Amino acid sequence: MRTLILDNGSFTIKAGYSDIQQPLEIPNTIARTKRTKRVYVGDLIDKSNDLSGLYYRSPFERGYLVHWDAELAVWDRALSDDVLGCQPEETNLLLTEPVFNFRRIQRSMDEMVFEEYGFSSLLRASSTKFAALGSGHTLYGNGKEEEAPECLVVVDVGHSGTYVAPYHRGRMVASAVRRMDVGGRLLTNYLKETVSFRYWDMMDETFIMNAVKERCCFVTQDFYRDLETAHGKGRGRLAVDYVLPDFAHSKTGFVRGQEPRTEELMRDSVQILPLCNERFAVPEALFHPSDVGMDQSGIHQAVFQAVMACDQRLQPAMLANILVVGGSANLPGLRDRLAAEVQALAPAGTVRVAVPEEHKPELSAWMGAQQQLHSASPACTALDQWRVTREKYHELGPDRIIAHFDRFK
Amino acid sequence: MKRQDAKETAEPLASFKESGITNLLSVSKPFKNADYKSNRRWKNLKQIVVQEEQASDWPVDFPTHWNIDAAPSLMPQKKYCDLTGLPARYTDPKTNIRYHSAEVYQLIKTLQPGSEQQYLALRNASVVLK
Repeated sequence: MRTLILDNGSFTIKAGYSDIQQPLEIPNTIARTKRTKRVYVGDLIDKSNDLSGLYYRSPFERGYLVHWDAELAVWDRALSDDVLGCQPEETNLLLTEPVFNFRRIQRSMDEMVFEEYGFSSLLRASSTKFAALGSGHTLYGNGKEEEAPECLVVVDVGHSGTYVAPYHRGRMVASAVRRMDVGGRLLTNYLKETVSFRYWDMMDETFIMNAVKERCCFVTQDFYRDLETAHGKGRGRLAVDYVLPDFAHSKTGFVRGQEPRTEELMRDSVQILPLCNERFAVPEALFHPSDVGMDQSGIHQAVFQAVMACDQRLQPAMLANILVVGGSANLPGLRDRLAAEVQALAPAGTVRVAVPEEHKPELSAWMGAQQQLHSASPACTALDQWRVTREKYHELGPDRIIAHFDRFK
Repeated sequence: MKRQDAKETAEPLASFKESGITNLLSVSKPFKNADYKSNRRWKNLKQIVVQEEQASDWPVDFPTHWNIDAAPSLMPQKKYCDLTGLPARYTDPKTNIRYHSAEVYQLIKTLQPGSEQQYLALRNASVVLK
């Protein structure tokens, strides 16, 4: 029987059978176009050319799965023959959820998996757990896939928030988990608002601004130096021109000069979005949420608080194994900056921060689950033991199943 | 998609009566009637949060959704110009907008009344009347 790994993120679903190399990334949303009023579910949005002013309906609220009518539509599309071609009755499912998910949401997740779709079996765990299981490769290098470190801090910089989850011998230290409400979505929205005040009104263009963020934004190593540069003589080094899309020749736009066909695509009518200090001032919200009026500490302090909440004897080992995963970990410079900032807080010793390089950081949970399923280590058989079959669910009922998965963290 | 078929696979007790089997262990006894369809609507996050908070009786120091937020920063908030993003040395006492230089101040003076609140909203500092 094949196993489907479904990392149900609030921005994209990472889904694929465990015997393939790369999962599919499907937008976890229903989009409606502004002009033609057509509805596109999940990956179907790629077929549309009318990407201006998209209206999104997401199954998620602040990172928690609550709107099931939307989620079922996206899952139906993902499992259909056009995408995954999945027969639920003959498939084992590995499903992810956020850390400290609500009972009620867990209950409806199990209900959907077994009663609505009828999957053969289910293993539900937080995405940080799967990322932790597959951390050996990133931290120790090739050939060490099966050796997850004894102490590990997983920093999941996701779409709707950032979770810092320390792991000791593969188990989450629940009392030390920290959450920060800055994630990819906040950064996109902040960039969108900033740009709308300064250049063009982009308030409706979430889709384009997300592309702008992914291509232009970076984490600065020295904020004040770069801010000085940005309005001084060296401005040219930081300023970029983003050519906004006309939806005929390009869908998401591009950075002027970075693409080979730039001059060909530059027409008289193109609109240009100049970006300079926004490029690094926006991701700075990860380190200083107070800049956007949030009463929380930055990601580096959240990591440090989490480590300090662990047992004192584990703290040095925790600081030496910090793994950053999640979509926003793609921001260039995030690893070095986080390492420097945490080192500044740490009393002594070495701080090591790792971001997966062999695959995209947002795929870490998926890759971790896949590695475990294919490795011959004892941990792999442990994964099999945690599985709950459909028969068992129907026999025991949802409460016992929730309690069962509660122990797998 | 075989969503409808899935419901039929769980054998209800009815078939047991017809077949006349005496050994109950051999009959599937799902905890829920397979024909039962709830017509409840899904709750939004706010309702879930409130309900779970009321239902839970965890000790204060037990880690839950409500107490894993990262603690506020002890560092003072940095001040940036609300219009240009440059370091802000001054604050306009009239509108509370932070600004970088006299040049920007000239611009603030030309702002339409009310629009300064939109600038302040960017850093969550606008006055919200409830």
